[in-house]
Amino acid sequence: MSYPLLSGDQAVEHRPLAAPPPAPAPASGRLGGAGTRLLAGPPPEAGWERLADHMARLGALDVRRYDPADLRSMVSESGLLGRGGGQFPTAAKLGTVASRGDLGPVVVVNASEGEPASRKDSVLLEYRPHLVLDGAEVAARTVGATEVVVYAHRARRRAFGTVAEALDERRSGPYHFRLVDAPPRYVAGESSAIASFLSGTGALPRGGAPVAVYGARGRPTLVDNAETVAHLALIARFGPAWWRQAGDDRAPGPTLVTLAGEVASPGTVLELLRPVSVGGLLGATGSGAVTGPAPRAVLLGGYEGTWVDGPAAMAMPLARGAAALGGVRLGCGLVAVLAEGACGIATTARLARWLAGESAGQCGPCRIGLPAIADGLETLATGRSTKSDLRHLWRLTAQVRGRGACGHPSGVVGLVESALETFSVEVREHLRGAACLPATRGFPLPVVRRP
Amino acid sequence: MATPPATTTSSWSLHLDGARCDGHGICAVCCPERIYLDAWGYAVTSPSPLHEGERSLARARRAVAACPAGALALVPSPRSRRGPALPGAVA
Ligand SMILES: Cc1cc2nc3c(=O)[nH]c(=O)nc-3n(C[C@H](O)[C@H](O)[C@H](O)COP(=O)(O)O)c2cc1C
Ligand code: SF4
Ligand code: SF4
Repeated sequence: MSYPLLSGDQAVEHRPLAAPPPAPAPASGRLGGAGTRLLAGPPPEAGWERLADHMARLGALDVRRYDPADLRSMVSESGLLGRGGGQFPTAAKLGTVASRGDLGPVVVVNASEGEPASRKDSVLLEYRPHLVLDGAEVAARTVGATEVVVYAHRARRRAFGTVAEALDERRSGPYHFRLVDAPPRYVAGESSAIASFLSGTGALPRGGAPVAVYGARGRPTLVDNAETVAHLALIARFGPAWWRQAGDDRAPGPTLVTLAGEVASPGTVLELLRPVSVGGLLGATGSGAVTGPAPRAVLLGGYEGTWVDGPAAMAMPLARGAAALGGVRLGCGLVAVLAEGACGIATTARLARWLAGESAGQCGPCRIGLPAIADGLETLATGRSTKSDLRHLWRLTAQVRGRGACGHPSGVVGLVESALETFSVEVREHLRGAACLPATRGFPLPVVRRP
Repeated sequence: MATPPATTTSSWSLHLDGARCDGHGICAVCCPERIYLDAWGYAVTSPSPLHEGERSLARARRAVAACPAGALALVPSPRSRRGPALPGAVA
């Protein structure tokens, strides 16, 4: 496939990155692994890939030679869904911002990765920063922006430091890059909170028009996850057909996941290359091997994700796209294993308490409702709940779902309701008075700040 | 925030900015068929469209005007991404 250049003098040929991997193609790969696309390149020991090495491996990418409309149709053909959690079609968002290209749009690479146990965005920044920055240029070219903000937490020190160095290497480029330190709060990674922060107010979500229409300082703002942007760099270079060779038709393209919890090496980031079950993924990789007996449950998609019963999860196809997962979203790509014998209700109570504290506190149902939900779960986990308390907890979650100015309350409700369903056996024991503490080993629990 | 931007739209839906709603509750008195208050007194709006000429639309307009927090707006329905920036959007 070829797309004409803007000047019409020479077509951009999409050459394949490498010979197709030998069959059977691996289902997943780690940094530098065979068949990987995003994580291809030098192994972790080599450190981050400098600009010269990056260009030598992938070829130079001068995005000004592409027609923005062609870039948009390539992204549209790829079927890329956002990797930040919402799985929104990237081409549609690019279209909205591009249609307002005369209003001085801004591109934001959302590398804040507020999910404490997720590492996929950090791994990209730590090892392949130029892939992310190339992708940001593709996004900027597509929407007609000259300004790019890389939004990341200084607290993720290696990732933050590496992007800073990588940006130094490309000072002379056509785009004005800015590295911005994200404030420390889960909701600070939400797109309208980023727009507010870049407008000079606090990183608080706000209602009203989407940021693609009215964002940072009133300008149309494209907020894309760091992994999403890295995909753009590959799609522009090698074309959507090549990119779609990974994944399957319902969930095209490669995708990154972070393994966490009761696995041999928590924190491992893997690139999924073709559909694989959770069990297949955990069993195939040394680092994913479940350390204990079969897991009690798996939390998919992050702290605002979905609990799935162990055996069901092991058989569940793991891929982007809701259909591929039987309705369960891959969210931020976290796959966290809860060991058999650990209490999912006590664990969820801890997650809910932490998430309640991460609310921006602006909206009543979130400010009042989330602590009330956490209270309900703690009472249940300590064996002090009655059946009527449990009914009240369900009423609370129903009342909070869909409320507030951002997706935070609905995310918490999704987590809690999936816990009450997945751990129904434990719920019955708690109603009979059993008291549990959250899993102390293995499962990644956030530290709750007490006021 | 009382009047939405002039367009040719003939149907509207009520939009609530949850970050602004302080739970004053006046809105639910003005337009009970489209707005109710939750157990904590915060407004919940119905997403179904309101058509020009309907009594409910007039009542919804009164609710928008009455809200002391400026949390309510009438937006063209179905909510269009390319439509005018919602009045609630401030940087
Ligand atoms: C409470 C909350 C926290 C979020 N945190 C992040 C985050 O840390 N990183 C991220 O990329 N997206 C985060 N998002 C999603 C962003 O709002 C936005 O949808 C995303 O960055 C868009 O990128 P994508 O289209 O590439 O997925 C969060 C959303 C919510 C509701
Ligand atoms: S819903 Fe919660 S986190 Fe989102 S803006 Fe409102 S108070 Fe903040
Ligand atoms: S009048 Fe305004 S502030 Fe009061 S409950 Fe209704 S929307 Fe909220």
